[in-house]
Amino acid sequence: MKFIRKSKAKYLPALLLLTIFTATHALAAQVSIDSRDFIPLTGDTVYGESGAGNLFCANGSPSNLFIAQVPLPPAPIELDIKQLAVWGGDTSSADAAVRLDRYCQDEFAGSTPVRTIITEVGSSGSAGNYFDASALNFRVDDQRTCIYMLSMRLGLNGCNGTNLNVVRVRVRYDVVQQPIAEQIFKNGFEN
Amino acid sequence: MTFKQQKTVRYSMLALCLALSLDALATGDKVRLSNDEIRALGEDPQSGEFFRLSLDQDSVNADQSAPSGGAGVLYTSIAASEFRPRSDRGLFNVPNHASLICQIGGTNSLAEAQLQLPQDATLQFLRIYANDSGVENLNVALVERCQPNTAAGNVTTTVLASVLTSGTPGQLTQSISFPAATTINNTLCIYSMRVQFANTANGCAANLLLDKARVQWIE
Repeated sequence: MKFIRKSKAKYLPALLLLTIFTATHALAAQVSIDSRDFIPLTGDTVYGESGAGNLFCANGSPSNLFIAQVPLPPAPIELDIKQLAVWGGDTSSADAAVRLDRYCQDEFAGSTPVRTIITEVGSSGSAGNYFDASALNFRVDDQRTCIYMLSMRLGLNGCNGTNLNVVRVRVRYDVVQQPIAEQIFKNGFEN
Repeated sequence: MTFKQQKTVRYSMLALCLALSLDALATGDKVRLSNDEIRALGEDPQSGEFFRLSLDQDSVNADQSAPSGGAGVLYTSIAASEFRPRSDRGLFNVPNHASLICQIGGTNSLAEAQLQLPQDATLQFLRIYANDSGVENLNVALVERCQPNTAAGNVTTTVLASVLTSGTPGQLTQSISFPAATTINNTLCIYSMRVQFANTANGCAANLLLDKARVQWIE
């Protein structure tokens, strides 16, 4: 009995570290969405591609809004979204903005989607090429009932032509691994 | 005829009967579409073969009573804004919430989104989230299009499952089961979700909106 207690005490720090590691262990991953995969919100939007595949909307276009779904691993895989980032070009007086939204509905009853704004990134100034990123820690465990979307706005009250564009948007996330510390504890040390 | 010859004939006939019945079973799951049905899908009857799988009407909303989740049960949702109109792009809009509508006045009511699932995934349920406040109805289908593995050939199109709304329920969600053992074959086929914003493929009806479509599958 005394031997067992001593033995356990000896392994306690290692067990503690192992438990912490396994409980928080996650697999880092990311998806990049090409700006040309964004869909204009209205069918009459006038848009084009400049430079190396940069999406812009033409001056005079009736709309400057675009949308794309974030292709995340399927439910019930759980994720922690860690970063939203955007690249593009901005030599205009207006700015570009990309927002990460979540839309949820009841699973088995008709309901209006409920939007949650998760975070937003964008350009500022007019220095040319830009990069912006937002760090966050947002748990995704609801993809049975929710979808994750990117909304892009090129300009404020209209479009700015090729002077304002987006190249790509990146979403970084960790795939949450289910803790296995208890199994290791029992099999490796208790049994 | 010797006894041995009689035995051979008997076994041959047995094998023939067995083969015929197996063939009947294999094609019995599929219903060939009429030319009118094919045209209603917006397709050309001359462009290939068209089928649909036999649907059990008891399978409507069966996922509500099915065991929830479980090992290997996965869910993939496609936002309606991801659907590409087959034509008349100018008449399709995303009014809000990543949903999709189609305005009256065009000649096309169809939009499609490709579905990427792993090889051999077994399809379980197709569920849609939509709004039907119109006189006509919304039809969302999962369509399989197959061609020979390494040879040129016409496309064989099969509607694996479809959800058809009815009445004017407003905001709704509705599902249908896939027939048992409906599996993904990425070697021969591509898979698309298809929405039709009217009772026919020609022109859109008013007050129909799709929010998203969800496929439940087993890896």
